[in-house]
This record gives sequence, structure tokens and C-alpha cells, in this order.
Amino acid sequence: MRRQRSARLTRAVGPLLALGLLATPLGASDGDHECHIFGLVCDDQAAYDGLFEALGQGLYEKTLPAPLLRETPSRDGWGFGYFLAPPDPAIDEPMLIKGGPPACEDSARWGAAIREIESFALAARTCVLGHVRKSSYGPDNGALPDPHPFADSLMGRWWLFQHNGHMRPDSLRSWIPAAFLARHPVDYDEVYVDSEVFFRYCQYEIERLGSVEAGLRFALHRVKIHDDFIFNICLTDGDTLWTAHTLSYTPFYYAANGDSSAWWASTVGLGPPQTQMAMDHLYWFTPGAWGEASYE
Amino acid sequence: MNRRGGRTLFAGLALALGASAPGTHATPGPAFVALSPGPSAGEFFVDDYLQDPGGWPTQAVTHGRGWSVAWRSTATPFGPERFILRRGGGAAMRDGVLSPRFAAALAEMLPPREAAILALLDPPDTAACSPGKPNPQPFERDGWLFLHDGVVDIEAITMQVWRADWGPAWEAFKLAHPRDYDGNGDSTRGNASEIYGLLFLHELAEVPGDPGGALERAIGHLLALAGADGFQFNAVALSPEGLWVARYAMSDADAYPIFYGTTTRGEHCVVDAWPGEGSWEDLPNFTLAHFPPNGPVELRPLVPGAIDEPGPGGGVNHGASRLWLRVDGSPTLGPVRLIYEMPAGALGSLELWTPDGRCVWARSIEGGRRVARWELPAQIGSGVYLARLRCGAEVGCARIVRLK
Repeated sequence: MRRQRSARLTRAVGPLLALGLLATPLGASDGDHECHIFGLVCDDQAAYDGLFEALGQGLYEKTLPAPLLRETPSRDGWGFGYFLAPPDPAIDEPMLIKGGPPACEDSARWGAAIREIESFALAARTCVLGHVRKSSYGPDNGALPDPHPFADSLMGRWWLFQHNGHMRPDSLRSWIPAAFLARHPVDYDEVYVDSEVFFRYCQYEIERLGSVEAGLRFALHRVKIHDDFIFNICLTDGDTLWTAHTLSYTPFYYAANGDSSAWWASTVGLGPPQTQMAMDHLYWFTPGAWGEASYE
Repeated sequence: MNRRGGRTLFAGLALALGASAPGTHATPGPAFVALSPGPSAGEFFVDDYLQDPGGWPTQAVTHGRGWSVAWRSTATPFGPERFILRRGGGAAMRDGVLSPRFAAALAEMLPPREAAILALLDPPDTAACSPGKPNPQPFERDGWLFLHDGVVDIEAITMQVWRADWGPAWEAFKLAHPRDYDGNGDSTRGNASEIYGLLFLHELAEVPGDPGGALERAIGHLLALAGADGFQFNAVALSPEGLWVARYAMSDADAYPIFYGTTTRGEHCVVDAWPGEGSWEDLPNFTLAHFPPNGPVELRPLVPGAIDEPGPGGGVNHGASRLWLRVDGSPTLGPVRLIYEMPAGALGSLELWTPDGRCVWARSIEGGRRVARWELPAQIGSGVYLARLRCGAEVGCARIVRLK
């Protein structure tokens, strides 16, 4: 299996990278990356074969100090979001696990988060998001737990959202009616995090148009054509993973396992077979099905 | 019922209206409620208090920069060991309406919780750690929730605690416990309460099984900070083993009260603002309270200087007396920091003795709990001395090495 080989490979080289024994890490590119993200949607136990671990390891390696990477490392915190699977009647919201240090310098908590997700998310149908941050907007100059993934409720469901790229949050905020923000206040309300405002704007359009696909296509098109706003995003309600790609220098890959019971999308490729997302395209994945549409 | 002055529920409203409430004023730090299993049911309807827009959420008027709800329960898939945390930025309530996510977190927490901490934030130092983000408190590490209520200078605690040269155990602990709010290495930025919490965990790692002692030793270290006599070290530490609460305010003590009582669900309940109903006890300043699961509260005085410490300085324990002495900064070419306590209102003597039993210097000293800079007498030469604090029959000692 390709993914099993990839997982074994990353497990093998990870410690060497951490010790500085490999000058050129596998998979490094020349792009000027900011954050890195992955999203995973899978059916019962479909990600148990090392896929989730490989996705996590891909992010982890993007946090290594700069001399080990040919790109700007993502060292301003890390975060995971997942939906309990099987769900628990006493817990409505998705779980968030976050840290402020670079993941590679916070290995104990990072490892505990990986184990927790393996224990409480992968046994049944679920969705998991992972993020490592290179801060561009927000408080404390990035010296705080990763704000991603963001969680909020909309139309009776809980949602997770994460982003890499950048945009000016003040512009986006001006597109969201005050009444909507009163019902969905932002957490970072003095120094905005661009991604959180982007999330709120997507939520607003989804609610306004009454459709995730229609709302996202409208919102993403408007954001894309505005100034130099760029993004890769993951959005999920726990059943479906939506992704979008408008960031030319950071490829965004996706693939499924053999029977399409698990789909993943990541800015860190796992190796072939994988497909690079088309620019300005929205994708949606659920176990056994997927689709795409342009928002150009 | 104890109606001690200090923060009360309606202080924020009074301030917002421009009125003055006698004995009340808002003070920076978190407003909190802590719950843990208690021995028997009491009178306080805490669920109503937490959900009623006229109850605890009114604290958001003065503590409107972030909220958090943290709890554990055997009813969750994680079992009792893992706290579930929900944090948000902004006010938990605006215009009499609870923030939607705060309300959702309360709805999740209230039915199944077996222990919990809720906190609303009024950040004490917005230059050090930006407001406008999810409430960092309580901090969660190593199976503990830790909350600090008070003010501690970020530069002092960074330079004198986080960067202190306390040997390999401290360095190893820091490597395993990197800070979430590290100011990107700037000693004037970061979250002082986080360092306090990590110091507590370090002390607990050094002497496992004694959380109360760990809190006491942590406070002992903090007493050596520059400006310590202006700080407050009130702290709440919660784990499945129980709830420990320290009230230790070196200044402005009346503004940092802690009250405890029991809820109708039979829980211990600890708050920093008198809720206005039910029976409450006032935790005296300089006191440690342990709320064991299903057992009655245990109180004891906090005597940080009387504890053997792995860090700098030293002191000699004289039982649970109210006299103790600690000296930091030795060996010294100049002054040392003197930290001591004697009964308030008493007059004692501070003396310097040589190892062969000669008293080379003495002066009278006032009682109370104090931190002072002590310029050693110019006439004493290089060598080892014993500083001795006496008050009646009680004596406290600490070693000083003088360099010249």
C-alpha cells in the first residue's frame, strides 16, 4: 500500500530530521509556505492503516527549524479539530486540541493529541482537521496556541474551519452584517485573525443562500477576486470535507484510499497516487463520493 | 454567612453605572467558579447562578475579555482523567444575552460535570499578553487545570523564574513543558500566570503526591520576585485527586477574596466573588484549602519560607509557627532579599551571627508578612553568617554568604 509505505518512511526520517542529520528533508519544496493544513474524512476505521499518522507527520515536519527546510517553517503553534466517533450524546461540539510552541518542540502534547484522535475519532465515520501555523495576522505576534481550527455552530450543526494563505481581515469583516456577527462573535476581537473572519464570512454566505456549496462558491469567488487574497481551506460539519484552492505557490493535494472510504486533502503531499487541486476549485469529499466545482 | 468586603457579583454593574459600591471594586485577573465533589449537599443553586444572565455572567461587565468552561466527567468517552475545555474570546454576555458558544458550553458542562472551572477574564497586563482572544485560563497540563487570580510582573517572573539557573531538572522540565504564550522570547511579553502554573507542576514533579506542598513551594519562589510585595498569588489547581486553592495576596488582599461553600448537588464550590446567596466561608489570606473528593475542606496556613526548596535561597522550618525567614540573593556582594513573617503587630529582632556563635549585628524589626531589600552592615567582612529572626520564643534562621 502506498500510504503504508509513506507512513513508514516518514516515521523513519522524522527522528533524523529532528536531530539535524538530514540536510534536505524529503518532500521539501521551494515555495514560500505559510501555514500547512490537512483534512481527513473517513468511514469506520478507514484511517487506521497509517493514513492519519502520515498526515500528522507531514505537518510535524513542516515545523522543524529553518535550516532543515527549504521553506519558511510553520512554527507559530499547532492545532487539531475532530468530531467524536462514535458521537457522544453528552458532547455536542467538536474537540479542539491546540498548542503554542512549534509542534516539533512540543512533542509530548503533539503525540498525546495524535493518540487521542486515534482513540476517539477513527473508530467510526468522522472528520479530522490538522494545522501548523506561520502567523500573519492576530494577537501576540503568533506567540499563542494556534487559533486553527476554528469551531462554530451554524444551522444546527457544528463546523470546523482552517485556512492557509492571507487576506486583510478588515475588508472581509466589512462584508458581514453586524447582526450575524452578534450571533456568531469572533474570538479574536481586538486584533483580528484573518482566517477567523474568513470563516465567518463563509458561514454568513452559507446561511444566506441556504446551501453549503452555493454559499462557499459565492464567498470564495468574492474573496478570490478581491485584491490579492489567497487561500487553501478546509471546512467540515463532521460528515463532509469541503476544500478549496486559490494559492498558486502552495499546492493542495487530495486522494482516497482503495475503496474511497477515506479521503484526505493536504498541503503536504504523501506521494503518488495523489492529485493536485485545480486553482479556484471547490471540492467536497465524503466516504464513497466526491465532487468539484469552479468558483472562478 | 460571611459578608467580607471585596469583589462581589454586582461590583461590575456598579462600576458600569458609575456608582460606587462600598468595599467593592473590579480587579484584574479572572473571575472564577471552581467545583469539585463534596461531602454533602448545601444551599447554593450553582446551575441557576451560572446560567442566569443576572447571576455569574454579570461578571462579564468587568471581565469581558474571554471566557472558558472546563470540566471532567466519567460520563464522557474520555473518562474522568481528561478535562474538556471550551474557550472563547470577548464577553460571555452582552446586553443581557449569553454568548451563543458560552451558553452552548454551559449546556454541555452542567449536566454531567463532576468537577469544573469556569473563568471570565479581565487581563491584568494587556501589554504583556494581548487581550482579544480565547481566555488562556485555566491552563491545562499534565492532567491539571491551573488558574491564577492576581497580578505578577511578566518580566520579573520570566527573568527570575523561567530563566532561573535552577539546574538540570528545571531545564528538563521546561523542555518537556514549553510555554504556549512565550512572547517569542521577549521577557516583557507572555503570560505570567502560565509560568506560575508550570512552576507549580515542576514542584509537583519534584515531590509527587503533594499538590499542596507544590503550591506552597511555588509561592515561595514567587516571593523572591522583584516587586513581590505588590503581587497576588491566589491560585486554583484541580485534578481528579481534588481541588487545591491558595489565597496569598501580598497587597490589595481585600480586592482578591476567595469564598467557599457547597452546592445543592453536594459539590465544593469556590468563587472569587460573593454570589449573594447561600452560606459562604471566607478563605483567610495566606491559607491553603484542600477540597478532597467527597470529603470536608482542610485548611492550613501557607508558610512558603518554611519549605526546603530546590531553588535559590534557604530557610529553616520551625513547625507550623507564624514566624519564618527566608533570604534570597546569597552569596552577595551587596544587598539580599529578605522575606519573613512574624505575627502582625509584634516586634522582633533581626540578627547576624557568625558560625562560632558571635552576634555581630542586630536591630528590631516589625511584624507582619514582608519582603524587603536588606543592605548588609558595611562593617561585616567576607564569610558565612547566620541571619536569625526572633520573636518571643520563636526563631527563624537562614544562611548568608557575604563576599567583599
